[in-house]
Amino acid sequence: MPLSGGWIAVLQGNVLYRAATNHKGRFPPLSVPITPSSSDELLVSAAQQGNEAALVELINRHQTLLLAVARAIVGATHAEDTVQEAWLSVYRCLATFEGRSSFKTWVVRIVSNEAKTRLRRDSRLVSVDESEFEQPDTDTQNFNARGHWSNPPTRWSNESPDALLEEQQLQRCINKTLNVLPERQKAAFLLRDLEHQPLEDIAELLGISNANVRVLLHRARLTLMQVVNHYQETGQC
Amino acid sequence: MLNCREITQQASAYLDNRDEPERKPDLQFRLHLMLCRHCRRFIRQLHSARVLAAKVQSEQQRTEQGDQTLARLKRRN
Ligand SMILES: [Zn+2]
Repeated sequence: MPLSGGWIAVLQGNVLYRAATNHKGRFPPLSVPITPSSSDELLVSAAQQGNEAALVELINRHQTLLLAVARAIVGATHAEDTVQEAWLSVYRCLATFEGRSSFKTWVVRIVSNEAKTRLRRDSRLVSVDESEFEQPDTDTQNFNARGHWSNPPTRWSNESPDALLEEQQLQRCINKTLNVLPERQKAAFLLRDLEHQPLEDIAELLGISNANVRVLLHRARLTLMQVVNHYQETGQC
Repeated sequence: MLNCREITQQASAYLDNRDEPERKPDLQFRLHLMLCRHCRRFIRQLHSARVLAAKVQSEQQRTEQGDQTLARLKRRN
């Protein structure tokens, strides 16, 4: 299975080797055991040759994102089943995956399609909470009647994300908040701010409008900003 | 002219547009930011918070559910 950059993956026993296609036979193959730092391409091609450890690693690596996408569409109760079903499709069709998109894009799409199919079959799956799509109230107490700041944002001791990341307690606060974000906000946040997907693709994946993706993202980010604000003021969550 | 409240409402959209160079810059929005340090701070902090949260999340993206999931797949296949 050819890989980008002139490398081929060679499977021997349970270890995946990487060999340069242009130096075939001249240098011993570079051994690349399956680790959390192996690329998806390498893992996919090993999995296609029947390497189970590679498939396990792909699942470990992408499960969180897939569950988030499924929860956003069918709700928390049915998300696990949906993702399991999607992995079954992956397991059965892996040989047909040609790498025209990234593996992650491919598998997220499979989960989204599986979730939407379930939703069509049973529209009771998701309690429709449309209030999440309303523009968040920007606190009236922060602005005067003309819409100017009456309570402007306060200084943070440091605004650099890397410096903020050093604060263990703040990390815990952010973690806590991420774990309780509403499903759709969480998925929008992951797809945009972690995976850097275009808004249009996120809308398509989640089956909502571009405008609604924007609202979800804004809500999620405002909540996260308020966590940092609160931490700056009190040192607590 | 946009007021500060409107700027905060459109702040996320502004950040998303800013990430994509082919989108045209919002001149009204940028003019406001040039003149208003409070809104500049708001935008900086919103941006920082999302980058920070993405970093925190990326450290816990990984699961150990692979073995269990694969075992279930093999039972069903
Ligand atoms: Zn302003």
